[in-house]
Amino acid sequence: MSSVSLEHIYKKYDGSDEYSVTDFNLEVKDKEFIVFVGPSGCGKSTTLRMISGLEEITKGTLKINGEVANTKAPKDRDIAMVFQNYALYPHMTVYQNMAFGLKMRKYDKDQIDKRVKHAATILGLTEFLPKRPSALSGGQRQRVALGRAIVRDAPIFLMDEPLSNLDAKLRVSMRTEIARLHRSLDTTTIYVTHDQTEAMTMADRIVVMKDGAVQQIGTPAEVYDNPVNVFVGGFIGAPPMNFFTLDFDGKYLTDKKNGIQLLLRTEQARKLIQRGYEGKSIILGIRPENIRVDKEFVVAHPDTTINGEIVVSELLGNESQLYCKVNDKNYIAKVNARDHEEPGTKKVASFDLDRVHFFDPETELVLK
Amino acid sequence: MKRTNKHSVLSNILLIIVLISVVFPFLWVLVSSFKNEADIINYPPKMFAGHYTLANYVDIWKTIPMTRYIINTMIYAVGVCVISITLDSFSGYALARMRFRGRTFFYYVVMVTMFIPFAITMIPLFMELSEFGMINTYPGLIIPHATTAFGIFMMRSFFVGLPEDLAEAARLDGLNEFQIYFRIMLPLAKPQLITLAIFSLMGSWNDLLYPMLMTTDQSMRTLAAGLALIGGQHITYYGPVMAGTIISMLPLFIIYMFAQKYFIQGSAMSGMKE
Repeated sequence: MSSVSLEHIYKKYDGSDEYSVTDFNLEVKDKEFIVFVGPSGCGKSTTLRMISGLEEITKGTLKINGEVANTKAPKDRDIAMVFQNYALYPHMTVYQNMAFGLKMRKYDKDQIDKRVKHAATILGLTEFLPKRPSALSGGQRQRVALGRAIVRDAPIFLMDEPLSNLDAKLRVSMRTEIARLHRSLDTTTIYVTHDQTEAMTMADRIVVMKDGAVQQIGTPAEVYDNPVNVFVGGFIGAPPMNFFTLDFDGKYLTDKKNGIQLLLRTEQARKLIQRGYEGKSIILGIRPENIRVDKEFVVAHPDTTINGEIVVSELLGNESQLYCKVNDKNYIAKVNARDHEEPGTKKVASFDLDRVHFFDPETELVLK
Repeated sequence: MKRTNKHSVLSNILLIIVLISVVFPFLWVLVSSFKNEADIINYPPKMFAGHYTLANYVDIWKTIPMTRYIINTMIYAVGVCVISITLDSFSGYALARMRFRGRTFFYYVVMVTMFIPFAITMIPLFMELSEFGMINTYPGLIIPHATTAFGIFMMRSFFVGLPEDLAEAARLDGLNEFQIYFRIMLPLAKPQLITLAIFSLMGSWNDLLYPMLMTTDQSMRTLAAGLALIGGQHITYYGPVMAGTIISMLPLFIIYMFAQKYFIQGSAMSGMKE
């Protein structure tokens, strides 16, 4: 059993007036794969480093396996960590790199040998064991870094953007490899990335962060389908969610300047009126795949159409991304490849109102 | 294609000229050390003589206490070298990696001392050592040179370039700060340390003014100082001086031959990327 619990964790660096991490709360369950995601500087790596013990905790309580670990030395925390730029010791061979942590912990030689060879087999590194890191490619080095963590047999893995130095193709294959390792090794993993695709594909739960604060914690589906605020809606998902600031008159949502007018469902309108948004403006968020251009849908939903011009279009094989513009307003629609059109074409699209989100323009929080 | 050939011919000629102008004086000294006095001062000068002798080498050994000088120089140069690379790498590491108050200030202070010429500190240093009764002693020769601003600067520049992750990975592997330094950082700094050691050895071995000033006793003189002084007394016999110069150059030459690989690596600062 291994669990990590962060209770009201704060971090302020020496000489800084502002907190880099504020009031971070999270319960990581046994064998869970947690991903911290957010733009650079949002405090996700800082939080991971506080868990590892490489960074001091300014305020709050960190518990590892139920025990307060705030002041425990990194080596006593039952964790193994994988760094962004691998952090392999250049003067040691792959074998020595993997064995070093165990040697320092005074394991006997046979056991070290067994573990290193086992990890090397899992990762396909056996033939590279006598080589130095400088003789390996980026992907191989990253696997050595993983191997170094595996041999430790630590119940908790911390990974700080381990794939960001790899090329796109390798990143995808290493992503699956890490997910597979997590399952087969039965570890609890906390993974930091700025790449929302990695977060969506690997995580059991995602922690979305911004400016040192947690925005939302949830499964990938929850975070994608029910973002709690404009930031999460915009950050998770590629291409990002479209946002329109519209005036609500009790029935229609309109943007007079750009000629957008959408007739809301009675139920939706009633809820907004109840909340006192009549006569006020509101932010509507809609994912690109929910701006539909297929004829059937557009014909069936004539009251929620938007009449834009395609500025850029990207055909990705099975689907196409249409970057459109209506007057000053830009939006993206993700459509089936057969609805792909060249730039310059006028395209009528219709909003799928079953899948829109409303946000308060001031707090930017979702209206449920 | 032709252009490239022309270029390489030109650059080769230029390199040969530079090579000759660098090597010629050494060759002159080497050949002269085996000539007799008359052939050395012969005018017009000739590179090679008809007759060669080992007499100069015997003479120099007889005229001055060569063995003593060599021992003194070795104690001085090796002492300074060992102590200064130890202290320089410690300080360089601390200034590069440790977080403490006034780190930048101390670094600048060290840097500033590089710009003070020896001529300015010479007299006060002599007086200081004299007060401590350290003139004519090995500690008096070694301690003032036990660390150098250049060495600290060089080691700091190297350590600053090493990724922070390396130390952090080591910390997670259970190493304390000293172990991180000795087991991770120092092995990586090998080319730099060797370069610094050669710089230091060379500097002390050839140092003239400083050891001459800090030693007044014949028995405490170093090679460079001792050789310089025989040149100045009464009549100068060039042959023995040339022989003495060759003897004093030899050890450094041998060391350089062996450490050349590291020396080039280290001075190019091309250490490690990760």
